[in-house]
Amino acid sequence: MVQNSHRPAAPPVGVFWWFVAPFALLTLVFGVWPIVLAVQTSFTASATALQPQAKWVGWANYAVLWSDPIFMNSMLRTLTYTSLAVFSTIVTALLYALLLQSVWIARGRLFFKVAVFLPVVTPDIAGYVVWRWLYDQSFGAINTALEALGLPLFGGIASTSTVLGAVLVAELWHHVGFYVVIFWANLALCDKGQSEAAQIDGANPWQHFWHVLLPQLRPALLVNSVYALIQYLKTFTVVAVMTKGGPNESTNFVSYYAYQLFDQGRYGEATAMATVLFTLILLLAGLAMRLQGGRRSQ
Amino acid sequence: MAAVDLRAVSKTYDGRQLAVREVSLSVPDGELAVFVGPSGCGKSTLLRMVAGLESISQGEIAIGGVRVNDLPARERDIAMVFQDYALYPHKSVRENMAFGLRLRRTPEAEIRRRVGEAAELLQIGPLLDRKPAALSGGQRQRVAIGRAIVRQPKVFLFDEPLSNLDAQLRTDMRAEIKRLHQRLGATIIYVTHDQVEAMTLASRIAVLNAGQLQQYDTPARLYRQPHNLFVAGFMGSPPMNRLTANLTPQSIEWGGGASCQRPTGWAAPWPEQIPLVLGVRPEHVMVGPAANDALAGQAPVVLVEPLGAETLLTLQVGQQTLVCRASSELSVAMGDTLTFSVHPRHVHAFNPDTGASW
Repeated sequence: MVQNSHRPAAPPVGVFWWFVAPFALLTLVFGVWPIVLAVQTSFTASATALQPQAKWVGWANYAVLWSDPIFMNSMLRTLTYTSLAVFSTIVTALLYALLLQSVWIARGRLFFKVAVFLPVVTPDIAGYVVWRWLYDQSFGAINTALEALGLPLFGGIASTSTVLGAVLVAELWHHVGFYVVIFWANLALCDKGQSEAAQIDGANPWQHFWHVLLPQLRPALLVNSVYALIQYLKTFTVVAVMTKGGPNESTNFVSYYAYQLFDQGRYGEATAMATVLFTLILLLAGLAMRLQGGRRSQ
Repeated sequence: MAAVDLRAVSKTYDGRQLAVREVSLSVPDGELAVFVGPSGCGKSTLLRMVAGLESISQGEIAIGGVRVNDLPARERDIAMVFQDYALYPHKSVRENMAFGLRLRRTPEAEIRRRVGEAAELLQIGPLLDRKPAALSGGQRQRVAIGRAIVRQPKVFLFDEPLSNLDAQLRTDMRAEIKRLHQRLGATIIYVTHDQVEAMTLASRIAVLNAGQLQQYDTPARLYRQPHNLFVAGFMGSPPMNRLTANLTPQSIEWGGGASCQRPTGWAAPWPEQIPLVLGVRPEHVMVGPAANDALAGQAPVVLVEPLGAETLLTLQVGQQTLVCRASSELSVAMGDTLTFSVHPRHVHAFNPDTGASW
């Protein structure tokens, strides 16, 4: 190619650092440094945590967490919710991306694209406020509609048995578009030849998906599951806006519980909790990357 | 095994752009038919319509006497070998070949037997446990052919299967495909843009241009009796010489003052005194003293291309050129003037306006 022979010389390395420096600095100051401080705080007594000479207490805060039934429940709840949410997000996003590719919606493709991505760019708090209204027991649109149709009412965020589902639906609405984009991009890269070979080999649509498409979607599956895992383990905004951890602690996830303790001045325990969550995310994400990476090299 | 019938098959895109227009032909059971033509002529589209990968806009395709227009590819019982192999990269060679059989719930023992046989036939036995990424281009193409063979389909479709291989491998694989056809006795439709491949493999060749069938015939008849200028120019390398000429009672005028002696007593089977295009194969142009019953003339040599066994000479006839396939023992230099001759029975004539043969 002619273009290659006229490629401009690589700029000196110094220029690279000048471009990187501002963002690296921001990351260090607002990203890494607070994490270091939080970890440090988790080893100090809450009462002295904000003073220059904080009192060092070793693993005491972690011991408190270990014997705190609310924390243990909260952790269990977070893990349950995360598994459920990651699974539903991946499945929903994948199905939606396949729908976007299918011939059934030839005319409405743009509508379906906008519909799924608009919530992603909507401010999350605004979105969750609307969902709170929708679920409202006395004047919410959902129950009004159910009542008009003569169907049993939906507990929404007021009932302990339905609140996790209700919160999950709101979160899916807000997040799933992002995952759809990743799957959709990966689908566009899939080899058409293999699909045609499978048709001729006699594969029905399900067999085609399972034997031909899914193996090619591994990169998107990896990125999406790691990203979803991180995102749902940190679930906070939706709880803060819609349920405040209730009803009866049933949405009191680790991030929200830590935030509550922090609010009460229990800095040591709160940061210990955050540190546990941070470590967990790091381990799980690392494990997922390793599993997928290992498979690829086979 | 089954015959394939195409009846007035057309393909339009967006309701107007014609990719294939009203092609009708029959591939008899057990024959190897080649669709050949320049790129964009519609040959691959036609093949993909037989496969069920493209819809049929108009007309009808039947496999084994059964209309397949509305059958999806998976129900047509055909197998296809693709130009870029289209192997499943995450499956081993064995599983690539077994996939179609597994989908049809073939018993495991039967799968093992058929895969084993095909692997032996194609000499890929030692590769069965490898992934496609660990194979060379030629090996991948063998696996793709193996995947088709194990299915024992009614019809095999080959879409430019050798285009991605280097020249030597292409020649070897070509011979192997021919042997395979003779051994399996299968109905095969083979698409290529390479007329040598078409000539060597086919029992019948369909020459296509701009979506239209130009001629469907045996290789020999296609070569000897081309129906039009396109076929005459496409088949054969170097292609048939095509010169504009005018027949007068005494001579053949080539324009630019050049002419040929007309054999005495020869009545041309074409109209006299109007412009014609005459076609002559390079191997039918003789160099040296002419016989009495031949068309003969003199022309300077403008290009000498030695090929080893033979030499291609380009002669300047008026403003036109005539390529001649001469023995390499003939010593000729550029600028020499040669006497050339052509026997009238080797001369083809075409209508210059329509390109059709007279």
